[in-house]
Amino acid sequence: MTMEEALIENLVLGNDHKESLKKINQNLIQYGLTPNQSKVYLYLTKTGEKTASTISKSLNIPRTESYHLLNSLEQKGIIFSIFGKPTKFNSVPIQEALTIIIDNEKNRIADLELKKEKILTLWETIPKHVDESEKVDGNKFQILQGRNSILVKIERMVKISKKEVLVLGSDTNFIKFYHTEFVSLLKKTKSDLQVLTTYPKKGLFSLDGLPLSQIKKLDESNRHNFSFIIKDDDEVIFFINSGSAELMAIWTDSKSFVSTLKSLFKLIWRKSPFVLEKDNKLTENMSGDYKHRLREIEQEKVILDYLQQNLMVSKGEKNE
Amino acid sequence: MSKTLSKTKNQKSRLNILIIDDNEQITKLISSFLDMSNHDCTVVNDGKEGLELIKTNQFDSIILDLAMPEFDGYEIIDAIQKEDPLQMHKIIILTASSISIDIIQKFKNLGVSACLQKPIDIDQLLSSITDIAT
Repeated sequence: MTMEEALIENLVLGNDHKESLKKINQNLIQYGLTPNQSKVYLYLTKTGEKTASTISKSLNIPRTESYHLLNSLEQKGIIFSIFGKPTKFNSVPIQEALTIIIDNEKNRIADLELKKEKILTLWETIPKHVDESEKVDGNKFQILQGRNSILVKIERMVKISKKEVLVLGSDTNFIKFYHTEFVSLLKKTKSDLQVLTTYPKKGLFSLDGLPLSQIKKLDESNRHNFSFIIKDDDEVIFFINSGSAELMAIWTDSKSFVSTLKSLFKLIWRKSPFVLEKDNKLTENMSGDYKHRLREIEQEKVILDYLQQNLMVSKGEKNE
Repeated sequence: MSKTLSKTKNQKSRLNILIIDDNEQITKLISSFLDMSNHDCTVVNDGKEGLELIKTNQFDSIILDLAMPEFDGYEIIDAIQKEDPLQMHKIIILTASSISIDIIQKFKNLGVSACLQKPIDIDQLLSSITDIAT
């Protein structure tokens, strides 16, 4: 950061907001803006209308680049120009800007969906050079990095499953899928769903919403070791605990790999209790505790009444 | 922490009673009532401490709760049975836990004097205590 940038941040935004600004900047990058686009947008949003020259000088961005940046932001629809000499620029409010960016992205995806069919139709017209007999099924491996790519794979597996979907892993293993479609995907499956997971005292968190009749409790010895999702007899996605913040997994359709993990799953499933069984025990214990406490209180009352009566009798005797 | 109440009164029928119960409120109330009835009373709210007192002191009667954290009444009965079974007849179980007739019979077979479920009438408790002394 240049001295001028620092001055602008301090003067315009204040020291207290530096961290928030940094976070907003990072988030805008996730929304598809480049770091400099984000910088220009935030600058205009905070300071109001400015000329390209002022923006360029204030943010220490070369003048030619600043024109490109302003042009691209205008095309995205999140800033606008004001006619005059010289031309000035201003931004649309951040709420509106985010909605515009999201809508643009949605339109882009819808467009891609449309184009997909066209590409496939065109592809069919091209003669094939690969010998279909050489195609190998059941020994493919794929390393998946990041939550989204893993989620896309899970979605496809769950959607095309015909027999069963088996999920094994601790509640904390799946926490990274919180606020995603993960649980609703599992809920939607028409196949037989079986989930083996830890059951914290406070209840399920990351898998909250799944029917408890399909969930069995994973015991202490298995809770941290591994987590995986199996589709029928032919696909598995195996999560890797790499220690990094980014989620990693291996997908494979290797028959031997799938059948080994499936045997392991079925073995643990047979030995494990349903979480509902635990619930019933909890309710019984709670009811037992309640009765226990009630009897204690009643006993206290019996003795207190006795003591009170005797105290009154002895007072009466003294008065006489 | 143990404390002895009502040591000043001097009567022939005076009994030395130990109360072991984790419920402080109950132990305070029972000791007040026993004090009023001219008995000496030692109170502990911890099972292990209670067992130590039984080993090192002579009590005429022991009022024992079953459900206690860490070291419960069952463990105390077990220890007494192994180490000094002659003291078993001094024990009066006073518990808020649900106890079946079978369990009561088992305690009786072990030599426990009485097995009472809270809430009980205060005269019934006093009668169980004096029964041991006679």
